[in-house]
Amino acid sequence: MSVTKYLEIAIGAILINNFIFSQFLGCCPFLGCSSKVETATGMGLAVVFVMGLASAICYVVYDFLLVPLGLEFLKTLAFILVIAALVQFVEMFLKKAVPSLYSALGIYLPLITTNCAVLGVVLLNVQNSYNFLGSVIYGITGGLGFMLAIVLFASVRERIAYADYPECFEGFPICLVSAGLVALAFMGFSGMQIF
Amino acid sequence: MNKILKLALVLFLICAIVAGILGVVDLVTRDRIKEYQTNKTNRARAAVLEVKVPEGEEQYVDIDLKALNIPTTVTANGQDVEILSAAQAADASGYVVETKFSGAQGSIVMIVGVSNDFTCTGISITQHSETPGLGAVAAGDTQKGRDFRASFEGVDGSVQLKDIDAMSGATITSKGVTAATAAAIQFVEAMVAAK
Amino acid sequence: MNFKRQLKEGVITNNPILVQQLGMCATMAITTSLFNGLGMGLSVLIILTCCNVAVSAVRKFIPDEIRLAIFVVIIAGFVTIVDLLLQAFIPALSESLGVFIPLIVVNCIIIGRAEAFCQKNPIGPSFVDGITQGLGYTVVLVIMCVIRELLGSGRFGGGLIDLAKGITLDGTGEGIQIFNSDFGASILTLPVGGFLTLGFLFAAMQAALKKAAKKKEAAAKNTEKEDEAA
Repeated sequence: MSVTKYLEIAIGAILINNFIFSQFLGCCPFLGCSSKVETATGMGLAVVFVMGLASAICYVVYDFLLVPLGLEFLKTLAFILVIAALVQFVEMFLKKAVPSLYSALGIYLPLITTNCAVLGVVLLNVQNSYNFLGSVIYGITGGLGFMLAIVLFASVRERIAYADYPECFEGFPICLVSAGLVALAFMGFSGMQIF
Repeated sequence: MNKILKLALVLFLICAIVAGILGVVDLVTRDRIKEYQTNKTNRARAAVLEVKVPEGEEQYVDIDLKALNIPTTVTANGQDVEILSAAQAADASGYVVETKFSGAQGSIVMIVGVSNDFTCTGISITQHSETPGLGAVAAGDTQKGRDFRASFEGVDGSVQLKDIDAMSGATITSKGVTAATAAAIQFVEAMVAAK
Repeated sequence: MNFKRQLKEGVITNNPILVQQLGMCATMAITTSLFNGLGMGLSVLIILTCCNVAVSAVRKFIPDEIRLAIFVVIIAGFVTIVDLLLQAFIPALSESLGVFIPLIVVNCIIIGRAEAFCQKNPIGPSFVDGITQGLGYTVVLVIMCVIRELLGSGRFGGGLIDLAKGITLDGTGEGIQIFNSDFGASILTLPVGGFLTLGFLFAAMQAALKKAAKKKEAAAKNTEKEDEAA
């Protein structure tokens, strides 16, 4: 795979096929964790880290354990166990190393396990048959796309508080509508050709 | 320590039981899934180039691209198209070329039928992630999609966007399909010249 | 085990998507045709019911510390079974839903029900709970599909219904064209449409629930007044 191919994967993951606005992977924490820009940034960084590491480990597990033994059908089970263990380690690491971030993220950290984006990216790596470097790049840039989306949306959401909308839209509905409009903006990237 | 060991053992046991059950289901479904996948490529090939051979015989003879020594990335109409595979019809009525190119939302894999006088006999999209209702129409079974694909029949290696019936609202996809068709024909020309 | 009450809860008052706000990823992503919506909804219903029964059956035997891990393993098992069966018997649906079938593993609804309901209740109610919550999920998916398809391309039943072939399980049904697709707001078939449609559905649900709550309050106040007067 050439450098342009990796660049295509990277820019595709961040802009053209953004994990949230194009592929809808990772919506639950996107809507739940984006009320403040600081929390959103922290969550985004944690997800980038987990996605990159999960891509690497799951690639190794798939290519060197499942495929040689003909056990590809176990990939969903294997991947989710790897991700659960990984998140557990990240939690323990953050608790010791960056306790402020740990307490800020609170319940959302173990919830990264159920984040569609993490399991989604490792499954997509298999579906697109990326090699090791391609998988890791897709994992990290997918996470960066997620982070971009969540941080952008947090800034939008901070202003929703001052907006005037019908009462029945309070809470989730107005967030979804605003997210839709940001998704519309991201559509502008479709069809972008890399070189 | 003993407790952790016991917990790990219980978890491992449950995983093993579940994996065992999955193994049984996989055994039951494996052949059917494989059959469907091979049928899919053969059906796509048959859709673009009809081959008349006796029942049960190989319809298409795969060509070793590496032995040919011609580039497998063709640039047509300013767009890079990757040639994934090529096969000759068993009754020597033409060729089927599998191409990969950039659509509006990621890569598209398409099979192009090329006749012996280097015109297109048909196109069939086998893999894509285009937007439903827009780019995806090119691959779908609606009247619009069929008309779009039919407009490529008979074109040669110099086909441009204005020569075919492009889809409104899906210009990028239309451009990509045009470029890939031109590239496939140009590749067959180069292949025949090199022999 | 009041089936009617659980049904009302599953579909309306405790709807997994519109009230509990779980499992939204798939809801917005795949609701572009009735084929997808029904297929996904029924898959989740089957997986949810099977998982509920399984979790409820083993709830007294599994150690408490690793219960979440065991839930995940059981769910992954059933999801893989459904995934393999769909790939073998309804491959068009498997291709259409793509990566969202294995993603049912992390669908918060399933793990949420296992944690909140099944580990405390016997098999019977858990089974009913799986069916009712699954029905609630399917109903929302179908409503979203119908809205998006109808207003987006003027079609009903795309991929599933065909006027010539009847019900097509290979995804080629053209659907019933209610009005010319040129008049549709095709933006609804794009990701934007997913967000917008779900947002409006949420708003409608919230408005309806608020109205019902106000009615109940007013009724309660009235009975209070009557009691005082009496």
